Amino acid sequence: MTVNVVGKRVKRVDAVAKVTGKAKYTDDFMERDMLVGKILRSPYAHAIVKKIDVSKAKALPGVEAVLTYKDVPDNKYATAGHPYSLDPKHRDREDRTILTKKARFVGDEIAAVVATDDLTAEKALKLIDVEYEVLEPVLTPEDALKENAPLIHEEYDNNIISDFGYQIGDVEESFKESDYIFEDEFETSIVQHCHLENHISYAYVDADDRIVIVSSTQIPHICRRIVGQALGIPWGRIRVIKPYIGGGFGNKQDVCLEPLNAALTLAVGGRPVKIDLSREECMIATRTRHAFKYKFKTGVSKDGKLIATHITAISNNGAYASHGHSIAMSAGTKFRPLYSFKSIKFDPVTVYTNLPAAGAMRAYGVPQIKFALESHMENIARKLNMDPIEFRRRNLLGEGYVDPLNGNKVLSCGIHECIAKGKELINWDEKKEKYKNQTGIKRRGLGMACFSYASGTHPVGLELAGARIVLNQDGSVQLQIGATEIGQGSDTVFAQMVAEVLGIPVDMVHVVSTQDTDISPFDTGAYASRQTYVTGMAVKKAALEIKEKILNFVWGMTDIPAEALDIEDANIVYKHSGEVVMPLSKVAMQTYYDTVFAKPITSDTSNNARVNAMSFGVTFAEVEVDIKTGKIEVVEIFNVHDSGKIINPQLAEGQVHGGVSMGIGYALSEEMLFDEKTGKPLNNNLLDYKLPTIMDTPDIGVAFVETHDPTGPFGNKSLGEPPAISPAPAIRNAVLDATGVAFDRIPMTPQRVFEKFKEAKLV
Amino acid sequence: MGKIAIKVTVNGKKYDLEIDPRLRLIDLLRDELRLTGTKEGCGEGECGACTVLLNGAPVNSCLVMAFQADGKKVLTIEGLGSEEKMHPIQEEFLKQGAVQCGYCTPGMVLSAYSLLKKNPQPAREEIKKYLAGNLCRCTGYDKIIKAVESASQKGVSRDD
Amino acid sequence: MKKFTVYSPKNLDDALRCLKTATGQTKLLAGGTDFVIQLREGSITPDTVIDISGVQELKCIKEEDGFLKIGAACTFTQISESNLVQQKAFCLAQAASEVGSEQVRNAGTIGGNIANASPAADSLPALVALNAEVTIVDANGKSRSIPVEKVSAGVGKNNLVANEIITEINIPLLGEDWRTAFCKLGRRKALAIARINMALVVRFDESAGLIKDARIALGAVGTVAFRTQKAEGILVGNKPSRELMEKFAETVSTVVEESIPTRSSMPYKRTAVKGLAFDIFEKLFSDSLKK
Repeated sequence: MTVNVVGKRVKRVDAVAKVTGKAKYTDDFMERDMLVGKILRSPYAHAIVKKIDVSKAKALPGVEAVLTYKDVPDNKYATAGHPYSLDPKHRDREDRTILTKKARFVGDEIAAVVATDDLTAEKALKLIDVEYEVLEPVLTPEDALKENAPLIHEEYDNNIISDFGYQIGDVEESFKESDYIFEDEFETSIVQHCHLENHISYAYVDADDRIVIVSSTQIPHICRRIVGQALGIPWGRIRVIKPYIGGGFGNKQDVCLEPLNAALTLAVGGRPVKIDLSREECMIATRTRHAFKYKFKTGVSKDGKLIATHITAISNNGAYASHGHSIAMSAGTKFRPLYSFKSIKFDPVTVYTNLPAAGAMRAYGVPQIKFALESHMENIARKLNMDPIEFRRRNLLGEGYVDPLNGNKVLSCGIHECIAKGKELINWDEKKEKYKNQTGIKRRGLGMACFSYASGTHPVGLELAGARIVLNQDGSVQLQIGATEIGQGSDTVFAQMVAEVLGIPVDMVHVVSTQDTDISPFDTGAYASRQTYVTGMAVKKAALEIKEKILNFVWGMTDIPAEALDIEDANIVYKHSGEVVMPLSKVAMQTYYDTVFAKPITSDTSNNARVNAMSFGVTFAEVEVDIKTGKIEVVEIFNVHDSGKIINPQLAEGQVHGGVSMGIGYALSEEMLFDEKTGKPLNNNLLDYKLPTIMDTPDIGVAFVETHDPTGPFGNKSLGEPPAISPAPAIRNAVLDATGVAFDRIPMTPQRVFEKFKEAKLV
Repeated sequence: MGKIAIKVTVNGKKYDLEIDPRLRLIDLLRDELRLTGTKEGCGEGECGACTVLLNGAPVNSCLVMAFQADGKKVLTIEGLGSEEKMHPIQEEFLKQGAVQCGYCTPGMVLSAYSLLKKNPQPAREEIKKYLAGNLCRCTGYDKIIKAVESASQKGVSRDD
Repeated sequence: MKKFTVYSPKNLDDALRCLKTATGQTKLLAGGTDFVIQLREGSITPDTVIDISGVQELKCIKEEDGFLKIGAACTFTQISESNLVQQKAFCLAQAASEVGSEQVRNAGTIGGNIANASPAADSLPALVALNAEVTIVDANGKSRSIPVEKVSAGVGKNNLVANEIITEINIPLLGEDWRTAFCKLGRRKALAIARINMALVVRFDESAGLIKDARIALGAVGTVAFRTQKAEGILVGNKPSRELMEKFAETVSTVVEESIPTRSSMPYKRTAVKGLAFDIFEKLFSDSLKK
């Protein structure tokens, strides 16, 4: 296989549609007489509906239906976008119903109306009379864990979702062998994805009495199953269609609207009903990133070798389990391939609180633990009086590491090269020297942080991906996948892979971008940075299969053995000389219209990945801190990634830019705020919630260390999520370098920075 | 209290319309004229996804009442270029890889177009200031800035 | 949202006639950047809406009778790009250029900014420091003039009566020896609500190197932007220097402390305003500081 297309800066296959405004997102489809669904949300964080009267709302002209918790199936279901498990013990916590009698956060869904238009629906919501018995809200994990704390879900004691953890080795014994013990505590805040397109779906019942749901989802096939479970109807009666989506970042790896949407269309005789969340609703009633509190106790030898670490974590899950304890376990798992510890004890607890439900968000628990761990590493290095980079280097694991708990083996690792490259890019040594002994109002500093991550969820979750290729009459192919394009560029890299294997130009690969569970092959969807790795292998297999079928067909036509043939630039050629035998289009026409041998060629395959490639990387950051205003400016930032072979450098850079920008927001400005007494959201809009604007985002430097992982379809490993992991700790470590002040909490907002400076007597 | 008659030119086409006074400009464009390239991201003028040009100046179409467009010219993404003949700024967005999920793209492209009309050779900081009302969560803005710079270097503002 | 009647007058006489004949609750609409949101969230429920964004007299910027006169329906873009404003009231041009975003500056008007009485409104400190007066006309054409800081009646409320309209903002012209500047501190660099904003207007005798007069206004540290004589006193009669800058910053800091003594953000704002004071001082006196 000669490499022509993989590794090239191929233009996105969907860019023309997007840049001309032609790309259709869920809200851009117009069904005739579409009705509007709106949700009545609890104004209380913790309350029970004592009485609910919908008669006035129902009587309003233009109102087609009003549903309360009494009118929807009483099926408990889980919303997390995980593959179904045949093992009941391995399933997500089923703790919610479509509408609820008990409100568990401000914004919880009590009732819903269907009306002819927005204004009527809004008016109808106001006409629903609800009498609540207001309960004491539980707003922090510490309060939730208190003895006799009010229970958020009656059936779960102590408000604990899970406290499952693990121990490798014996940390207590290992501490005894250690020369030093270091302890630190860290805290992260609740943040939100802020994809530009809010959650939206519409649903109707088709002529065959099947429920069709068009939704902005990352996981159409999973969505179908969860709607079936929530409504208690056969899964085959549901069809989910996913058009272009305006970003997801994990928030659309959760089934938020679709079960209610299905119930609403059923309530109005199958007429189309749309639910389009406002930004304010989307920021509280979908999912958030879990806030974590971490405690680290780490034993180190005199020569700077890590020996043991005991990690205690509290994960604030909010009102419903969603991805629940998986987030903490992902954190506790994915950091392991980086540093060598003789013993690790991981003690997490995931706790319900009366806040919006936390779920999946880019890098799934890892930004939190890496903020803590890389800050902790920095603190230790300083206390040991060691160069922080040298300290990390001494403890890196590298190739050949086999994880003792899940058996994953590191087959490629470029972390050392990543560090070296980052150091060089930021001009580390020279600047370190220059920034010694600063005393002014504005001070500069350098920091870095490393990470390890996985490609997909194996062996925790099933990693199944399907791909189907059809040879068209003109020699082009269509590629169908169940994996979803959510902006990351998966359609484009799949097209490149097919073009590469098949020997045709990329523009002859037509990717069917819309997933339709009736048509698209099964795939669990966009999450865990899995698609280029897991689905990519399915795509490669499908391309190899169709190529074999094509060459065999030509063998039949020409009597030239298939193994003597190849395809280059859409021509069938002799493998040994490259001489053209015939154009692929001629073969394609024969497959359709030869009166004797016609047999259209397709391939249809799937990949059940039972491997997982570890990716690695590093952030180097330079900051300038204004001691007076507490403002932190990121002057330079570089992310260097080992994601194996880079399939499309331009798209890959784009992933890194976006992830780093998100990481900068995480470090400096983003945080969801709630009233401490009532749990009411205080900044659930894009003006008061400070995601970085173009002016807040510095130039972001990107570099790749291209290793080759033998388990990836083209040597590639995960890239989508990793860029968001290490910016926050790198920035935090740079602030420490500039000011000597060690932050233990993000975001480092000017006010918080200032208060800490005051404590440290800098101001 | 019935409907209001307005005359508005959208993408060069003149419309005589009877509209509900409560419609916003974005509702008029998307729901009445079916120009769905204009996206809504927040409804409060915070994200800029709904940016259109009103008499040549970028505005958030979610913060303008439809009747305020009476007698004015509106340019939406559909009016800037087509798949067959893209505007050079759109081409630069393609080339530089400034598009990811695409939801902010129409508004971002229109803001960039307006900037280059007004200031054909903007400095990097001027680009940033002008585009600051268009949020993007995917790209970290890097390639968007490059696209505008590259379009500027090619003098695309003079092409139309 | 109930239906409402819309008037779109094109001149001031028509606008006043509309005000006179309007029935029920009447709301004026100019840029719409606050109006549309309030309408949709139901915090305003007008029966009649008068769209004054097309009223020609309200869209002029001119110099007349010793005043810089800015029509109430002038947009922030118009103000920030006006040569006249840049020359005669630079701090206002700066403040206008820091409002929200390009889109908001293209729609939002100065009259709306004043009438909506947001404590963090960016134009206010500049207008207050410039001694701006606001002309208000009622439906009968009777006009009155009040200092800009008197329009606000607390957060989101104003002292206008139902049939009144802000028509013009009048800024007494400053002599050649005056300098002005505006600074803002937000939680991010754009689309930011001011945490503190400040305008400084000074008369500076270049030959003597002396500050002859000074007017300082602070915003977002109280319900409405206000002047601080205490800090002004520090500057007047003195030569710009590093020491004076420090002293000025310390005084402004005390002013903030006294203005919002119980607010949880006080300790932060008290210190952060010093950074802002340095910035604004440097903007105005970079020449003297370099010496």
